[in-house]
Amino acid sequence: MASADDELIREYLVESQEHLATIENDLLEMEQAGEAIDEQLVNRVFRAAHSIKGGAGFFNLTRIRELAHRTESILDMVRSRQMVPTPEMVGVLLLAFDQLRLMLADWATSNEVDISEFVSALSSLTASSLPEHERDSLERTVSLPVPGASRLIEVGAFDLAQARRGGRSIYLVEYDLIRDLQRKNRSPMEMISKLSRCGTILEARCDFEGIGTLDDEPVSSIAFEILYASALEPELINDLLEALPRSVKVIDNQGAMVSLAELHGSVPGAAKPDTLMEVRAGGGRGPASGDPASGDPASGDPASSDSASGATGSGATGSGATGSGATGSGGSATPNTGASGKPIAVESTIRLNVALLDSLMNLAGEMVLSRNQLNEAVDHEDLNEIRASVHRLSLVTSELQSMVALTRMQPVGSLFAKFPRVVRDLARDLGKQAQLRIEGGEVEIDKSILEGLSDPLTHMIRNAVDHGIEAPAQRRASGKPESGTIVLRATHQAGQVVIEVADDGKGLSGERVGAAMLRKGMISADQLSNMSERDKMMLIFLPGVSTAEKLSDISGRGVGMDVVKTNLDKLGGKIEIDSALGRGTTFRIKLPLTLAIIPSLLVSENGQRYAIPQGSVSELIRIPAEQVKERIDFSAERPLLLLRNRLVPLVSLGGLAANSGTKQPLVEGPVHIVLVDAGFTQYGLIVEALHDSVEIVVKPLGRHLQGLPDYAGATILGDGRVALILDVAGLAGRAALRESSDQTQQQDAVGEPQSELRSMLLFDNAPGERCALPIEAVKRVERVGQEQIQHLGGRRSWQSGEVLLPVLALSDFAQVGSIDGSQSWVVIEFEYRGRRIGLLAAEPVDLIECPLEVDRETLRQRGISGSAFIEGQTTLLLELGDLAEDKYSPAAGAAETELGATAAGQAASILIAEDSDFFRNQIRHLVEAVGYSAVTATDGAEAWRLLEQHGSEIRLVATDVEMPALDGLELTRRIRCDARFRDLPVIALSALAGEEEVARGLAAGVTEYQVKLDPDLLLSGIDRALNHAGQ
Amino acid sequence: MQSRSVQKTGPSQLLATFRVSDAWYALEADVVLEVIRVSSVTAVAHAPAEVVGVINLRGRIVTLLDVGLLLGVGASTIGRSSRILVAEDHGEYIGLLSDQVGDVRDVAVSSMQPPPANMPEGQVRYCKGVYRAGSRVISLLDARSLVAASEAVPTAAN
Repeated sequence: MASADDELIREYLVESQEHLATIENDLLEMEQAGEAIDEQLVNRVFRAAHSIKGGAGFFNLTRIRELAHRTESILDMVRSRQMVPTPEMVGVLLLAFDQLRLMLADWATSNEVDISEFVSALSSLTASSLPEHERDSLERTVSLPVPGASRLIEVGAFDLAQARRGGRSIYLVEYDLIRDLQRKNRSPMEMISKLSRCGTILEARCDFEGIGTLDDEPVSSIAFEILYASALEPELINDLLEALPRSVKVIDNQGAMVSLAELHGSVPGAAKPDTLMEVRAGGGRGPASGDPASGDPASGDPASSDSASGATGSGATGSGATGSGATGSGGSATPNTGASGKPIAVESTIRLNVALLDSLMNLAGEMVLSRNQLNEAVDHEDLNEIRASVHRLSLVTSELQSMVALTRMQPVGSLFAKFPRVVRDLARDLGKQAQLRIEGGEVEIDKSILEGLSDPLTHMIRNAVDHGIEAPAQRRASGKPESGTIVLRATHQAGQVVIEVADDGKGLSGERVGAAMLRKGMISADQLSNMSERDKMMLIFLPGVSTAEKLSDISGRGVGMDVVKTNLDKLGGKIEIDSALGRGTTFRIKLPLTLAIIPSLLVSENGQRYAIPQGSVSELIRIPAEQVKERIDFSAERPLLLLRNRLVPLVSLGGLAANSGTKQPLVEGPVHIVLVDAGFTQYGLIVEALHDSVEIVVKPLGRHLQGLPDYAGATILGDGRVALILDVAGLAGRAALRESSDQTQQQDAVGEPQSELRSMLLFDNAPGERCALPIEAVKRVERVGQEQIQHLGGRRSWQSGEVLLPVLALSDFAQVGSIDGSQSWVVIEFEYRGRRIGLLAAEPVDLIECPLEVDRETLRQRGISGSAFIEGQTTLLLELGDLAEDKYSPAAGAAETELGATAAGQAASILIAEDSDFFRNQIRHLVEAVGYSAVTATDGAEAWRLLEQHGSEIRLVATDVEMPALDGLELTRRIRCDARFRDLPVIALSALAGEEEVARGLAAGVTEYQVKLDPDLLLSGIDRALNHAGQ
Repeated sequence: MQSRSVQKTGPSQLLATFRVSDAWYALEADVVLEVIRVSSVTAVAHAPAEVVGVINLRGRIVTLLDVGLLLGVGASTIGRSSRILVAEDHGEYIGLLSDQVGDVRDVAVSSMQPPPANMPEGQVRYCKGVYRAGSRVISLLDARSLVAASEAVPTAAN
């Protein structure tokens, strides 16, 4: 019995928690709606309170029942428009529901909780809305004698009167728990919620005292009585109570009724025809079937009908007032003796869609079937059959795996739901006005991530109210609506869930954060001067910022934000800040869909395989043996990869493992590099070999290995071996890679001074004209005699060893002075796109490391990216790309013309539309590597905009099919419908390339439909399309 | 031999015996879940020295410890007779690499003697006591302290 009870109460608790989860927001909405009462909304809250009450009665949780009952009364009056929701009322209700939640969490002791404070607050609300003469009904109770039992059912006179409103009938429904419910596989909660839908449960109770102890004879029946008010007529009530209760009695206005035994066999109505009736399943129609006021049991809640006939003569048989209606049997009544006092952890249960469960069951069956086939095949030693079975088994397994993963997915809405209350309460406390808008609550995410998200999100939202949203007066002054808006938004983006907390408040100033950090000595002035605005904002995530910056006891911008970040890190999440002063701040959290299964790249080193989560892999690079020398440089014995005019630090996985750090000489042969993004820095991981990308199940490492930063866990590969999952950020730490705020490739924002800490090579151009180059770009510097520079064919060159190096001078393309004979000449050799080029310069040559405030405007011109003040002198910063491109590109590109140029002989621009960063970059790198230039867009809409801007330059569009905003096919249709672009080749790239998809694509007008991403196929497709178009 | 020791004395305990290097040791049999052969071990760079690597035990990742290194008698080399004793502690499975496993013995608790004074420092901390079995001296080790994570794991030089 104890276990059955356990299950029952668990069910009740889970259901109650679910009701409570949505109740807050419903109440808040009620508050906002005010007089414009939304009946559905009120009904929902009402039913929640109602079913909590019903269950509490069943389990003899008297205090919970009482409290739920009081809230219910108020809600009932709201829905019948006897009361209008006010902020005060909602406040009291919120508190009452909070209390209910607490009591439910610790249900075993809930009967001892003092709730008088809540009860009196609630009853005074009820009383205040009643006319004088009815107020006393609140205090009176009516006792209904239960025939054949010594007990009375007591019910408040007011409640009874309320229940009769609208001509509803009152029934006393008696179930036998064992015979009527348990044997028929029904649960009491099921009945309660069913009844609640079509009426009101005034009282529900269960006779547990009659059960006795375990030593007694097993009981065969337990009475469960429900006092129920419904607009359903007696004939119809049977349909509702399909579980065939032991008896149903009608209670008339005088509170009289007759038991089944007394009526048995007699003509209904013989004794007191107008006052009582008894109904059995399919039983005869009662004569007192009044007028069929509402006949349809399915039609919502009868109480919402406005035919309020007012309170009928409130219970005439009012027996002596016994105070509150709750006359529970005290603390001993806890039905569950087995697990006494131990609250059941409701959170550990999860609700599953039955359809999902069914398909899981199916799959499990399939799996057993496959196993049996496999067994048989093994017995017969039939290799073909074994192969087939294994194949089948593996299909079933992966389906099962993804299905099981689905069971863990929960909508974020269940978490978001608690925040409107947080915002409301906090805003009230702070004297601000703020509302929370929730978007994308239906987005699903792994349960464990969702749970871990609760604290960080709460913190961020409190922060937004406390420090984001300004006081009403201040908002008015800055021309904003007085009430601030916080948007909590969840979206799916490229296999990730993105959650944004955006406020329209005062915004965050990176300058101010930086200055504050500086004051506190958290960072040095040097560091600060090297930071971009965004980096400075990110400083609020530094640990220890909180205590000093604490602005209020609620939350400070920065208070505990380090905890937020740490928590998110644990979930594999990344956080970004966007802020505009005066306009608001947006925190953006990117989370993996699930922690349990992640797509990963397998690599191997020293015969052992490792997995790298795909999310941190940005590019795979294989450098053929003969190019290793050219493309990998060493600076202070640390290898650097020259990648698209950028130097990327390299870390050797084998070197790390062997503890020789990064100073490991490169082995002979091709080098495989995984370009990884560790958040704060990007680096290349040199591995022995690259393998497939697989989905892996993450398993934790044991305690001995927990503290290692290098690994994120382990996984078991197909052959049963264990592969460690690399943590790229941890490895960066191991390799002692410095954080780089290197955003050079994105620094095209003109006018904003940018600062970087860079090692620069200083030299003169014309006398006194100081120039500088980043040292990474420089391969060597050699002093040359003026006569060593040859002038041939209009170009300078210099014989460097066996190579004839082309030599450029800055004055060739920039408006600067020329180097003259009075200076000592040097040639600075650098490499651009695999070609060695020399730059003519003059001594003195110097090497310095300094923070650089780059002015990218004043002196900018072709070949010069800007200027900086170095060692007391304005210095020109050279742009090698421009130099090499302008002067040398035609020749340098010659080798690549076949691929990179169109028939017209010109580098063509390709517009890439792809929402996945990974694929977009892959495609861009692919086409750039063969000499095309690329314009990229993250969705179709952006692509269309770009097309309209750069229409004439774009020669081909490569587009993803599935994209937000405007998908690839729609984009294609637009292109085809526009006279300007009608003939533009469009290559559609999709993960789906079934016949149907291809047909749809071709119908939309794509030139070619490809599965992404086959590099060779794509390049040949581009080649075909462009050369065809060019002819 | 087993039955004799049981008859003589009162309470007894079952011990799983194993050899590391040239000495015999034992663990209480009830902490040893199973004894398995050594299959493929995945090495873990930067792990504490006593961690041989990780293995897959029916889908669980099990950390394999070198008992020889823990006891200070030198690293084990995995050979044909090497076996892994799998112990459970706080819900985690941990493998203990031994050079050979012996029988499970039923030993009278009273025949146990405290660790001898000349036992090496490194072993005393794991040793609950010793007893004689025929010509062998067997040290009973405390599984819990054996599998407890050693001092702070060295972290990356940041």
